[in-house]
Amino acid sequence: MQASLLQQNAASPTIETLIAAVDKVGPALSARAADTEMHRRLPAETMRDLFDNGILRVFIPKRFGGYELEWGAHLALGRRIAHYCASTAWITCVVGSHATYVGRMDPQAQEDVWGKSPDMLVSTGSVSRNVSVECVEGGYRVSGRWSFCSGVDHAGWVLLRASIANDEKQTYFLFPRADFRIDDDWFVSGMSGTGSKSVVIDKAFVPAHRTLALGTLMAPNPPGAAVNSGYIYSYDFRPFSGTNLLGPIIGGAEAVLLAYQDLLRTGTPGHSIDDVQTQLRLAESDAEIGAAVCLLDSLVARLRDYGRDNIEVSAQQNIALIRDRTFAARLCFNAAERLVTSLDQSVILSEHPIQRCFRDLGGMIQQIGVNWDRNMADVGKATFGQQTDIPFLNTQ
Amino acid sequence: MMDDIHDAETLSLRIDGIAAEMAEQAGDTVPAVSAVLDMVRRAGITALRDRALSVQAARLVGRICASTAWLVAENAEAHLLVNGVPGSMSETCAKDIVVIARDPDFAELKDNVLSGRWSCVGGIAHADWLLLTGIAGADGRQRAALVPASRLVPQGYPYLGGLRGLGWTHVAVEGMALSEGYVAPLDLDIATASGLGANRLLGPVVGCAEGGYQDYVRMTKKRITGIGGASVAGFSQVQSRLAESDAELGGVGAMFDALVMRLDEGEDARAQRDRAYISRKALDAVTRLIRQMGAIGLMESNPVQRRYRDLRTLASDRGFAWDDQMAAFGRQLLGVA
Repeated sequence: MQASLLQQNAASPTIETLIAAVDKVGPALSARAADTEMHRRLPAETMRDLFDNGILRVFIPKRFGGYELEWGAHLALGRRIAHYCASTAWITCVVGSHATYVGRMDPQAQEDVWGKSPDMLVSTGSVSRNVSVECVEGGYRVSGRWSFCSGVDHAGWVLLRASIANDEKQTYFLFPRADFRIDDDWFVSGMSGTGSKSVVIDKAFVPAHRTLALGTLMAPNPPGAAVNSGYIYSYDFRPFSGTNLLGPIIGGAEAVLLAYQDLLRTGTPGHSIDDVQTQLRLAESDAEIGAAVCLLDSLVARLRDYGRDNIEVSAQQNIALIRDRTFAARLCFNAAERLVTSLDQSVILSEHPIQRCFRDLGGMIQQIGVNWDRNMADVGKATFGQQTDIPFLNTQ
Repeated sequence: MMDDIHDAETLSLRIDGIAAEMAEQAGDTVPAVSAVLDMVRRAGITALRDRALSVQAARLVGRICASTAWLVAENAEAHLLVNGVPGSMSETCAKDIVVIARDPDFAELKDNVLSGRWSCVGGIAHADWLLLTGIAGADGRQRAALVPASRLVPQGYPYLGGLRGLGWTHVAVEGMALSEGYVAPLDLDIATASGLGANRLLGPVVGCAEGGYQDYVRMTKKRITGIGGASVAGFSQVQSRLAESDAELGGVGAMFDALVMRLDEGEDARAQRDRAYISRKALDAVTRLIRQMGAIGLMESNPVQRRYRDLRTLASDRGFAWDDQMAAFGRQLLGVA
């Protein structure tokens, strides 16, 4: 009997039990954080901790032994894990959520990925170059290079986006580990531990069932909805994409705030807990992160309502989702930056307790999904009733 | 008078109806406080006694008119206070509009005869009763007196600040005899236990800022440049300013909702933090928009200018004082006594 079938009757844990599991392995994640950064990938022990505690099963379909939890569970986990290690939080929350993509694909593709075990990481790539996709009998032959494939060292599969020859529309292609090579080009100032290296594919064959047009994958009732009942596999996915980032970002900002408080309590040059300026600075940053948390809670509540009740999301509601996640990310970075820039120059030392947290946060907010200029330009245009640069947000 | 309001959905529908009626009647002109208040009263909003619904109502009314929202908020607070004191005061004014006079220059009660002076009291012209607080009794306990607004002689003075629709005045009382049921003990403990305290003006602050934003969008869609006649809404820097204020108000709204859900948990340092942050961000959002408007932002007749003026006045309440509230929260985070 397949391992997945053995586990399919196990009751799904609650988010509270998963948070407790995170807290159990948290000290070990913290202890490994420096090595994680230095080696530019999560340690194998960390992946084992995540798999053994079911932390990466949040969005894997129940029929393969996954939990099919509601949207937002991964954000709560990512937020908490970021208190220990931001790179591990990113892999858990962002890469872990890619299971929803596979769960929306053809049932045979799902069987290919999780048939032997639900403990399978799927890395994705959408930034590409030198890509060629040739239609052949039974599928496609694909070559190219894809960057920013987070967690690819531990991935059994990669889900890569490309255009089929002469078609502007994008399609996802799913490749097993044997079909791709990793190009170690991930040398960065923040989020080094995510190991977001490039993937190179050389004339690999992809059967048709392991491909799906981006538009179909994101639209309501994709092929996977026929076999998976949760709304994350059947509902319009566009409003959901992008909010993934907020779990690790908010948790990363909280990590900076907690480290700053620890520094003050243990004593740091030029700062005293009795200094009113210090109290005000800390309170302002805490309030900003508090506002970001309120926005996250509100986003999750809205998305759950949309998904549960199968509500069609209006352009105005979509704009509000983009606005809120972008603003929440900015609040988090501002909050952390205020604290870090108030410290003396020792904060630039790589071994300083705040240094890695802040660099990781800076890395996360560079992600396009929370890019201020790109997203807020569309918010402004949409509010004045003008065409935005994102077609599905336009109402006229 | 319509049926009582028991939930947020009914409340929202009633206020949407008022907003639609006001828009039809007034267009771009500033609605008179008395007209808005009349509609609000008929819709049953001044009869709300639920704490959370009262705060939410003031926010929604604040999008239409900040002065009326202030009246809604003060009236709700006054009723919560009189319901919390011993005696029959609450029955006397149950269906009426009550505003509160605080921090008297002096106020004393001897043998049920009241004398005192309260500065900068708002809303008397629109209220049925005035709840005069901070009155020193012969036994040293603080008291409050419920006085019909019609028995008071307001002393007007030149006032150029915000919330002008309330008609700010000084109130002097000299040798006013009060009946037994019109005076009750009201000290800080009773006020803290019964009222909304510093949270009472949250609704008007948030609603006023949201109304300012809506006014700005409406006006800017029509604005063209003086030279060339280009649409102001087409400029990317204008869109950028608007988007930032929109995002700030989104954050303010989310924080407001979270704070309203915690109202019954009582006052704590986190509530202090949230209030200060909400008011600062609400003011930042509208200040950015009024600055973007340039010289027309200075015009007294500009609806956004009025919102900005009203918001500055609302945000100057001591419950929103940034340094006091945030330092208190910072001390708590650091475990400093």
